[in-house]
Amino acid sequence: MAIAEHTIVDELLQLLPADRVLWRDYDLMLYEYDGSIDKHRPQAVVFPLSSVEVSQVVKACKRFGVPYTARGAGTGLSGGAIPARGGVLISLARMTRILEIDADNLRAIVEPGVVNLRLGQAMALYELTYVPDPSSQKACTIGGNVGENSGGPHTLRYGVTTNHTLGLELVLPDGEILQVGGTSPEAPGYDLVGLVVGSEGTLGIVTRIWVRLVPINETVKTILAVFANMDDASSAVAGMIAERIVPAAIEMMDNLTIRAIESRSPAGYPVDAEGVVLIEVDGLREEVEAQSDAVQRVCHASGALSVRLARDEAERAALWAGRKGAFAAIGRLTPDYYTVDGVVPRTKLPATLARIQAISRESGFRIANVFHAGDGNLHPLILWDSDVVGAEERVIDAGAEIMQVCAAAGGSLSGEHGIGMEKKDLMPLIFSQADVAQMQRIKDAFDPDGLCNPDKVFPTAGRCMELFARRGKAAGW
Amino acid sequence: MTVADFAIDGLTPRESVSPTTAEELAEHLRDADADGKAVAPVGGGTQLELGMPPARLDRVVETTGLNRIVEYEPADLTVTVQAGMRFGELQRILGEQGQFLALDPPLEDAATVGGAIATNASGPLRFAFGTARDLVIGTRVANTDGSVTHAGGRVVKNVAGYDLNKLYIGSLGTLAVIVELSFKLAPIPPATATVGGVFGDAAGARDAIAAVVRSPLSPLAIELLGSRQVVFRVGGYPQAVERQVRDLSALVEQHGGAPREADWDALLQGRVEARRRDVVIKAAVPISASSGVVSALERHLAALNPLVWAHAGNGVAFAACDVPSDVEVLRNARREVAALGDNASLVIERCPTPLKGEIDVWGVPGPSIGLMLAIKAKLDPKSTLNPGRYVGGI
Repeated sequence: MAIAEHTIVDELLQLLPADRVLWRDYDLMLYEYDGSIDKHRPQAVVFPLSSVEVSQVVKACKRFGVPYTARGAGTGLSGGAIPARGGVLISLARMTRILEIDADNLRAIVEPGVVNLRLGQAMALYELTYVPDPSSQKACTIGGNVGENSGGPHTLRYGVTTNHTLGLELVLPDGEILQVGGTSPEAPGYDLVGLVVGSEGTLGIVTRIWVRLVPINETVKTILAVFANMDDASSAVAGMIAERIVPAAIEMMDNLTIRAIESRSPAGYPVDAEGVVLIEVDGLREEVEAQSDAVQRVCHASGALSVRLARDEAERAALWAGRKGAFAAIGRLTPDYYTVDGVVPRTKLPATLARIQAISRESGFRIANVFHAGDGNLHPLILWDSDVVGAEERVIDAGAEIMQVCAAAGGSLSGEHGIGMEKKDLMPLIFSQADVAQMQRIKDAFDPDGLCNPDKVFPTAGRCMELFARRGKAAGW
Repeated sequence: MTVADFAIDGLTPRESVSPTTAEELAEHLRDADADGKAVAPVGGGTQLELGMPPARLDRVVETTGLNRIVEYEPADLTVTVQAGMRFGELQRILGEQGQFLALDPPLEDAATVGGAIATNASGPLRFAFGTARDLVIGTRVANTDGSVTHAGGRVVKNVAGYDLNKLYIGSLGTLAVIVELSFKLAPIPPATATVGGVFGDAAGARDAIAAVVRSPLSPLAIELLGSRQVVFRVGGYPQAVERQVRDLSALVEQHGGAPREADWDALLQGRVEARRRDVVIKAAVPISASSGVVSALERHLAALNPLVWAHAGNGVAFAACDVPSDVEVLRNARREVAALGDNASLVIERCPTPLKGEIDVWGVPGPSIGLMLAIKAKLDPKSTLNPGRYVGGI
């Protein structure tokens, strides 16, 4: 039948100019992966320029019964932007306009393809800033940040993406374009903005974002504390919380990470240190002085070998460049690395780090630790080589073991990278079947056809029943 | 207590139950759901006038039997507490460790933690710390199918699974009954101070506030009392508090204001009392319209002996006043508020029941009502929980 020859690709070519539809296998290969381990090739990639075009594409997918997945810069680390079941990949990378900057209301309205760092820079003129600052901020997009509810080092004091998102324009799975939230601080009814942020693109496609801006701080100080072992470093972090100090950021790096950074682009970290802690305090001059003194006192009391306050902006920038470039530096030590993202209560950090060391010894993989210590958000990087037969399975197992440790410590499977494809089958470690069923009801309310970024977040039916069963009632949460 | 004490908008439930475990509470919900009975979850019963009159009411399920701290590790700066604990009691326990939940809603003493969250109550500190959505890190809820489910967790950073916490906050018990909450906490500031100023006209107060909002100064709260009086609350290290007092005082003067003593605790207590008036209104507008909305409410409610105040760094204003003889007064106020900016709204948080027959306290729902109804239909398909009381007839 002739009509059967008309596929979704033909439909997309009718909706959009040919230069905004990719369908040749060669072109599609670039879009089969993101920053995670998984891969899956889409049937087509489209580059809409407006919410109306996104809506047209979504409606076409619905008519053809084809799944679709939204993608920003593809820097995600849990497979959120991988078209797990094929279908249409909707790239929002060309919707890059900052539509409105409303300084008096501390708001901006942006399109999803705006790169995180660019938003921050654009606000500088108004002496305002956008706070969430993932390490990938040079490349990652605000739309992707909203999808994953991204964090970054400065979320300790200022919160993650959801705390800085006031409104969204969404294309719902039925193609409707809907604004939820906006410039006013609240409105009657359920908090749909809060529900959609961090839903990993499974409830609809975000086409416009109302972000919260804050005035730039008067003073910022960055302190580098060096420790002989990770236990002392951890106890310094606990000491700060106990001393009622909540710095803007507390970042920790272990020896393997320090050496990697120093061999690539030196940031001034001592290479023989077992652990360094990078602490940033910001705010009013007087507040910063007092906090900075208190932080240095706590670090010394916890046995720091040295404590250094960055003298000027250049030194401060260098210290941060080391931290932000840590993942890339690790990349030079190894053919591949697997970034794990887990969270534990702050008081469980030392015990958890010890368990990760044990997993490293047992699995034979080197593991580097660089993480947001202040909020207990770990990022163990497992060094591996994808050319070694059977290594992929073993590295994923090691990651899953770390997740079990986090779950057992009363923590979570992800602090900022999302569940995506990567961890969906680990969900039973922290959620009961009833918990997941409750989330599924929300998915069904938004996306009854199940075409919107399928096979993400939710455990694969059957595969995890065993895990649910093993977990039983005992795990609680 | 008798069932008459739980009457909501004149409707008295046939029975009330007071479970002591989450599972027991969930069983009550499941049984009611199976029998087609309507349930109103009740904490301290201090905000029962919020919302439209219940379409049906058979059973009140009290949460006050669930009143324990589940886990509190001060070094983690987090707490997990059962929903029925008194809000003030939680703050007292946290205070012993030099910490607090940075939420200061003007609630009566009997108010519970769960009730505060289910109504999304907030206070002046929202300027610095945000609202429940910024502080709740985990929830456990009882559902109408008898299950007890959790979302989020006990860690301060968590993106595993859907953030259902956000959905339950402010949902007035229409989706599930909150039985347990985890919060991130803050250390109590070592020093605090209050700075007040009074201006000759609304423009002076407005400009002073606008200057503070855009400045690196970081008050904990920015309050407008009427359209001409401002009160700033500051906290932190003593030397930083001194500096803020100095700068804020100077800023008040620069904008033509005169210093005016302000007692912070008295201000908060005054709010609790104001909220006992016959009519209480909340308006939400863009930040820069804070002064404008206060003036608009004062003007429209002038004949009703109004007390008007605002969290002026947030765009949230309140009015407490007498009952209008003509409901058109409220409709006009709502129209004017709506014109003040993108998704601006006016909610009547408290009023005599008969008035609710003439005006929807929530206002006409926006285009997202379809999604809200779809969510309600999935989580509470038989409309067992608080039927008719929420937005758009939910």
